[in-house]
Amino acid sequence: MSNTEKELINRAKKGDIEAFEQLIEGCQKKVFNIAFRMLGNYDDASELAQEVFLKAYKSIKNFKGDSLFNTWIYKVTTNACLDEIRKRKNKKVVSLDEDVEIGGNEIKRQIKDDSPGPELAAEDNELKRAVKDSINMLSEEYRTVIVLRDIQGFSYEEIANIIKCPEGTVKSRINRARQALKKILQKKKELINEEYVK
Amino acid sequence: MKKCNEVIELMSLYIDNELDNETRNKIDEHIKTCESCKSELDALKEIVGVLGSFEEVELPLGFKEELHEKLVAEKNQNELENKTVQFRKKFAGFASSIAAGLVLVFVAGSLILTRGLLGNAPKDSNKLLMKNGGASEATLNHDNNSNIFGHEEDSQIEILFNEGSKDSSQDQKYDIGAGDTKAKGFRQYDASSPVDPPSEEPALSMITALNAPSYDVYITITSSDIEKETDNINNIAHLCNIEIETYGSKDASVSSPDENKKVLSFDVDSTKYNSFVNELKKEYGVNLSLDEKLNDQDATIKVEISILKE
Repeated sequence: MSNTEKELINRAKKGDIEAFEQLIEGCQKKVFNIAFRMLGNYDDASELAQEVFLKAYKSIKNFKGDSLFNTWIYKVTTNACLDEIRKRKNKKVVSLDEDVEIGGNEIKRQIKDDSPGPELAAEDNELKRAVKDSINMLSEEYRTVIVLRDIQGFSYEEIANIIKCPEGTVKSRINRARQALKKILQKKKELINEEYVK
Repeated sequence: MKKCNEVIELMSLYIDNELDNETRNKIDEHIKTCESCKSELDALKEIVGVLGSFEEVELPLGFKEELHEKLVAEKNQNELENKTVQFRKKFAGFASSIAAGLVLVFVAGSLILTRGLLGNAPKDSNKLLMKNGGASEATLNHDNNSNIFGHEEDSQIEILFNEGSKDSSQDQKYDIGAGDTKAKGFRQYDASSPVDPPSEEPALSMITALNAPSYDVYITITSSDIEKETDNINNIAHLCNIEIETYGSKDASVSSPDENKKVLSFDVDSTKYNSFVNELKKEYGVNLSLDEKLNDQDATIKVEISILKE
């Protein structure tokens, strides 16, 4: 940790807003992007990112400096995202469409608006859009490592620090998460083909 | 030459360039001859490539300004709280003695009011209170929330009134008069509920329809890679919208001291249960055994699923 960062942290611990803002300058966009990919929605991500920084400001006194400040912020971010996802699960998702048949089993189709708007979506090709949709169908653990590793490009070691897991666990979880994603995509493909045949 | 499942385990590390040269070469060799592993690798590579091409989104407009305002508000509130805490600490003893004094004054005051200064004039005070009670009721009806003092007076009078004459018939009359609308409303409700029960029934049956039959599911996993199977089942549950409630840990003496064993459990309704079990059967086939027992007492079905994977 650099000396300036240490000094900024000390000032922020005393409530210095300017110091805190300097500290988070470098990670704001990343926090917002993690939230956006985890929650799949632009407005929710914005709200959550605000909460994360406010929470960090309030609890920076508890930051002991055993990890980098940014790592700590990303840890707060992923935890907040997981909380939000779990909260949502308890509220029932209203299915707008009838149930979908996947491989002979009925699975509730969840319609979730994947912002940011049609302009951006139009740039995506079909595969990219399918991958985006599939991320939201992954379990929280898998979604977290996919977002951190493959979208945000964190190293295995950084991820291990963020999600507080041994690096070995991170390695095998990433592998399984990618395979799970592949499975979901395959099912989607089969579904599209079936529809096509009809 | 490596086996396919070993190669698949290492694929992510291969893609991320996290393997030493020797292992890497072995995988390269395997892929040259194994068509299925090659297509698996290509598929994963493609997905990772797509994920890596996701564009970074910009911060929403005004994000930093909004945050700044929140931080300032938080800081101000914090400072205010600190001051109040200091104030409280300083005056805590003082304030409590004031409070004690006030209680004394109140008790003495009410004694004087009910008993009179000499302590033996309950009848007179009763009459007085009757009048007052009626009057304040009138103001209450006319103007519900204009006069704070009126309210206070009202409530005090009521307390004293009850204390003064519990069994007088006038008292009862007054009570009915005062609570007229409320009492009527209550009686209507009372009378209608036994005659007209169906209004409640649809709601009840809906609730039972949603819940029944309820499945109490216990999954015992035995595997050499327990974490992998747990993750896998977790993912299947997630796809079926099921939240696994408890994860029996390996040290739980209740289940088993075996390191390769784990028990998961959750409650679920029949729709989700069926899709979950179908998925599970597809995934584990012969490695899965399932036992359903109906519990007559609370109409739940206890399901014991064992998964054995080497």
